[in-house]
Amino acid sequence: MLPSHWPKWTVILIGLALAVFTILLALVLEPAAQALMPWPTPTATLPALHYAAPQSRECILCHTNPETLRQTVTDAAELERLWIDPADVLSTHGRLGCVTCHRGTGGTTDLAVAHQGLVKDPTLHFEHECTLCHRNLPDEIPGDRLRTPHSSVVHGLAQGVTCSDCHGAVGHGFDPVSGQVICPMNVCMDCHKTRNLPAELQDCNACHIGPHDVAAVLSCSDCHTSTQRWNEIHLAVHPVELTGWHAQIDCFDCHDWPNFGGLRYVCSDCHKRPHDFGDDNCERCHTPEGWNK
Amino acid sequence: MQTAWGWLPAIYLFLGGMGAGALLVAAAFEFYGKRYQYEFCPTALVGATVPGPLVILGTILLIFDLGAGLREPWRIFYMFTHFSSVMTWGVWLLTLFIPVSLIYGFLEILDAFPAARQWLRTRRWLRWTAFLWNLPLRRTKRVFAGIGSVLAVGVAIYTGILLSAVGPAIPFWSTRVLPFIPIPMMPVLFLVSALSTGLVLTVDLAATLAIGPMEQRVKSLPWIHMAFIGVKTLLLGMLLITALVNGGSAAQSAREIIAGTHAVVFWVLIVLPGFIFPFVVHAYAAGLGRHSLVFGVGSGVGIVVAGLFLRYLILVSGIPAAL
Repeated sequence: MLPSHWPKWTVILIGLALAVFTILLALVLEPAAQALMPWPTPTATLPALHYAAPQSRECILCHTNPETLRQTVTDAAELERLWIDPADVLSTHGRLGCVTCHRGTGGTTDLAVAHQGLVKDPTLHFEHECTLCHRNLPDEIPGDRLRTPHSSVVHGLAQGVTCSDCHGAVGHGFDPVSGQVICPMNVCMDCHKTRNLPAELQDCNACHIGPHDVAAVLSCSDCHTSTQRWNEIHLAVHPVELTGWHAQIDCFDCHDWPNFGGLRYVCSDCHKRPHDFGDDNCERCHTPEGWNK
Repeated sequence: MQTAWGWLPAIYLFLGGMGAGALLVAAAFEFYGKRYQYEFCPTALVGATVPGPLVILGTILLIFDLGAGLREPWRIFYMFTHFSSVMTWGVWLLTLFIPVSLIYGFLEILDAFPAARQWLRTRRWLRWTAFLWNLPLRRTKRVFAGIGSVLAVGVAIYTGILLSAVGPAIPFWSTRVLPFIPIPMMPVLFLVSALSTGLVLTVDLAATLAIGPMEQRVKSLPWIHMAFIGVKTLLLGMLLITALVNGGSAAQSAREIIAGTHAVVFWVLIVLPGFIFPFVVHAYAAGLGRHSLVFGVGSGVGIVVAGLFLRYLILVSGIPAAL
């Protein structure tokens, strides 16, 4: 019981203190209890991820420090290649630890021993390790209107293609999922050409899911002239000549998305007559160059 | 052994659950009139004022656990807009719960300490709040208690939904109530545990330490505790049995808890202090109509410590699904 001269609001502090006390007590009790029965090493029944973040400290200390690296590497380009940005170590994949993915021997400062058995591209050698965590990979990404060959890669149908071919070094600053680094189109197309894939897999539709239901009569390049921006259009394809302001506005300012319906090619489809005289045949007086022309 | 989450999220889950449970207890005292039976009601005072700071502390720990969120805090704002994600539901629940519980606590302080109310009312620099002082205090407090209760249930359940949503990757966390009932166990277990720890914090610990044993004020207290212990035992038993029946890594998790690497945490730090000892104490108290201060507080500490270890155990025993 509280002494009578203590203010009543002390009970609020007691409540907060009890919560903190509980946490501190648990933090003390847990290691004490575990000391009675230490955790054994992982058993073979556990998942096969070669988890070794705690053994990666020496790798990180050396590879994030240019001064340390310079003791063994003199070539500037090589130095830049081997240097690891400390921020990458804290990334989602970086936190798995170097040894987890690249193997080698962790927990040692001996250069030769540390690099024994090291692999440069883990996905080339341990192709199923990514899918230990990354599961149910989509074949289509509707938000970006893209197709991906995930199923073919995971099931071994896309011979010789590994995760890092598209996703790069995920533990080293390349983060395609959050869009920090946008995967350029030539990554896909160069690979498709090099591997001499069929023509339909070297076309836009190989990766892009077109929004317009016109694929039966048109190909993407009939209208689109740029691989950088969708709204760069080859105007000659338009059934009615587009001049003046009409050549400068976006397609879907007039047409319905996505199949270009809802337009009968008369001015009054879009424009409202602001004056009482005349009729909806605006072209009798106006030109597409502007209302005052 | 590789563990997905460790102490920081465990403490957050515990603080979130206990804060939500404490607010629900205070709101129950408010709505059933128990708050006004005595001149001073420490249960309502603690239950209204403590949840806000507890959940704020838990949320800070959660942000610390989000490595990317610490390095690039603007990413946290993305969490408000991804409505198909369970995380976003939680972010919104916490965002709403924290201010509502703080306001409820502030109103309870004004109600419990008229001198404080008078002091604030006469401050010159608070003259612009004059219109607020005309609001009926208790009715306004009840509105916030009501809104806070709804959000508290959400926060308590959410901590379990968060885990069960990780289900495909860690099957133990998405174990169903029963194999043929498509409701995950974690939200149910966490809600009951939140209510139990909230009740203990506000009644058995804070109020008892402030004004002495509470059996006279809440005569059914031992029975309520025994009911909670019974329900938690049932739910925990069903969780372990269902996980064992499911097989795979869920069963492996259950085996590690019952007789494997986590057995010492389960039996020594959860079952003994959080189930067996309090049940004996409260059964004894139910028979006699009273129990000693030491045993009452001791069983209370056992229940809240076991509540924290329960969340820790569930987190560390989650084994990722094997391919």
